[in-house]
Amino acid sequence: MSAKLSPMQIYAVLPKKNCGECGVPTCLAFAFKVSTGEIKIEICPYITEETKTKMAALVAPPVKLITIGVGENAVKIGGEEVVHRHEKKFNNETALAIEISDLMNAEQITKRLEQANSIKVVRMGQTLNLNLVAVRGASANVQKFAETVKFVKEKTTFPLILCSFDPNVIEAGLNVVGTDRPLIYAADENNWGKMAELAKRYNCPLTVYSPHNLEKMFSLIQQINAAGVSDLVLDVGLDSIMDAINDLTILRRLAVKKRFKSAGHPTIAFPALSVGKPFDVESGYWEAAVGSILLLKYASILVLRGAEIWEILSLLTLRQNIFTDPQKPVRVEPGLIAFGQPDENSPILMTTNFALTYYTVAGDIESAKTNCYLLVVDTEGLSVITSIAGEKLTAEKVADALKKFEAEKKVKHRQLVIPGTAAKISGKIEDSTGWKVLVGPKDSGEIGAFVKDKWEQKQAS
Amino acid sequence: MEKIVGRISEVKIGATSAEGGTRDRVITIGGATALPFNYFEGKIPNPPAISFDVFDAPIGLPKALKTPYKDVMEDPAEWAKFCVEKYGAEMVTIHLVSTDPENLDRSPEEAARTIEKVLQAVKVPIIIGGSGNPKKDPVVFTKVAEITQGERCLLASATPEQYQTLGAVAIAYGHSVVGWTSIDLDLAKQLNRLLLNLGVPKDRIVMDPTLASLGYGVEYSFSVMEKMRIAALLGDEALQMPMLAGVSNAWGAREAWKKSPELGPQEYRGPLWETVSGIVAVMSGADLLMMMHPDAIKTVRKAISAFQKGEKISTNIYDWIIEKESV
Repeated sequence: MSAKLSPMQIYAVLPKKNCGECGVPTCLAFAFKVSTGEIKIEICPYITEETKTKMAALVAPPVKLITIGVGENAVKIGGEEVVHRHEKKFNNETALAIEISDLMNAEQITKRLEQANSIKVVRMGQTLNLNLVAVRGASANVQKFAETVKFVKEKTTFPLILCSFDPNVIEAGLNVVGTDRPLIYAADENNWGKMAELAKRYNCPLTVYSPHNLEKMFSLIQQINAAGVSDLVLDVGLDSIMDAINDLTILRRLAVKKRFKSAGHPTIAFPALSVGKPFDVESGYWEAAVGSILLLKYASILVLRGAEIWEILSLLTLRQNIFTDPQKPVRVEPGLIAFGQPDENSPILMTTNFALTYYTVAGDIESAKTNCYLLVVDTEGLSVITSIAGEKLTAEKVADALKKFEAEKKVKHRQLVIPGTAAKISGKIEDSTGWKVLVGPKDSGEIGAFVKDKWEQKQAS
Repeated sequence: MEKIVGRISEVKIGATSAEGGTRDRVITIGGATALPFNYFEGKIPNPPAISFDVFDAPIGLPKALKTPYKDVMEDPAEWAKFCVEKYGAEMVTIHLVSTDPENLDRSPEEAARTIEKVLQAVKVPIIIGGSGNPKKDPVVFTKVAEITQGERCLLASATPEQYQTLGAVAIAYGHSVVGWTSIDLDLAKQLNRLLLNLGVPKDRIVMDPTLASLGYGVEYSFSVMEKMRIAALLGDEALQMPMLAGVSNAWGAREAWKKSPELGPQEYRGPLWETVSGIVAVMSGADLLMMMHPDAIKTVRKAISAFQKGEKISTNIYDWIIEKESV
């Protein structure tokens, strides 16, 4: 279901002159490079404009890739190629936006932007953060909106979403940040002509709003396309969460399976609409729940009212999880990691470098406050059970890891605690390492008790 | 999805007096002919059900989880009753953790007495959970399945190691049984086949493919469950069983309970961690959720209800943009 063309499909449209002007000796070799994305087909000087356009459409992902903002903080959304995550990795993470209004005073805006800027969570070696700021033209006043946009632009590096259905308000904002490629929100059936004109003039992406009416959405899109604007983001509305995810699902399926162009755009949704005021803890729970549903069902941007870290963390974590590659297990660096204050009598426990396994074991060791070393063996990112079955966790690898990470310099004993699920290779590990092997618990939650009962008591006796 | 030809089987939990039990209602799970909440492609006759977790002996729980239940945790019958009366539980799960030889090693007879007390204290259908000890569970379930004959409980869980006993007592005493496997489509399918071959009727099997916690592999569960549900709807009969998700697993994540001021108050993080795990479960096709924190249950219930009724959940966006008041 991927958008990739085979080398032969590409070769078919090439001139087959083997002229080498593209820098590749033969057309066939060129076709291979194009198919892997190494080189762009436009490099070939002999293919016609018509073929170029046709090929570009064929290789483009079924959901268009859209960029909001410029420079290093630009946000890419869309570019998706599949309906379900197990088919292939989802490509571009859902962008999280927080809203502000042009009726907030400078102090309120500053506080909120600082809050947004300060959300930086390091999880599994990645820094997770918010991506966008949505500015509402609540005043409906062009001057007020322009001033606020100017103020926000100075205070933050997040790209902006300019929110108003009044083209005059949007234009006032674009006067200030038009060259920074903000997302315009939104064109609807009444204002689309003027909004399309602005999007074209400022070369900015434009949102198309058609609540729970895909027919109308597609006809609006075609009109806006005809007006010369093709970087679009779609909003199907959120009156009912059921209608919203049904429409979002239909859009994705039409784009990927039917290659229906009008459906192939990234989407925006507003969990912020689902919470009332005052924004209390219950609102935070509900907004995150609505946000999670939309994140799992194809929303490319979520606009949020809550900006407290305890709420945002759950969405950042879910996003990190869902946008990992299902074909490539997430791994951590192999090594010998110290927990607490281990000394030369502390136990050495063993695990694999599958990130999930590692972080689970590490979390359990930390919560049990066990002083120990953890030997992380490179199993190519597979769990204990899977890696033993697939022979990625072998006695030899354990021996290599002990040597490589100089375990003998860290402790004076020669005893290795292995996971209960690795019991069947315990004998082999003893043979290849010369160390005595203790079979630990199957569940890392029992490591604390195990070390207390089987290790510390033995040391004491 | 192309060509939906399959339907998830419906499993009934609990039996009323008319059916030979003593429950005040029967909960039916499963029956879907569509992916979660995709009403445009098929039917979802039964919304996902939520069962409250109750433990028969003290277990280590984060403070945020203990707080709501602190007055009743000593007595599983009181605890179950509290869930029904205070939070409107439609189902409760009694986890017989005390029977584990590593725990209190309570006898099957003691476990049976606990279950009897719970059945007297509440009238909702119950799920009976074992300790997970592969040697002890078969003995415990043999006893408790016998004394609950007619109640149509759900026994949780059969594993590839002990499914013969669990399956046999489910057949003999009229219960349903959960097959538990670890985030793997093929293993889940294999266990279903084993249970079917043993003679457990298809409408008395529930699958637990393991819901990992948010942040700790929830995406593996999401994709495996979604894949299982798609295969079932496309006609794979060995996967057409309703799915159970142990959402309370979310509390295993340190983000759910650990004090770290830079991440905000853990008493809010925890319930939300469970909430989001619950959302992932229902969006991947789970038909039955085991949950614990009242706020998480409340929020997930609200989402399920909003889906079912298609009710309006939002302010109009035109009003929102020009809304005077701010956060």
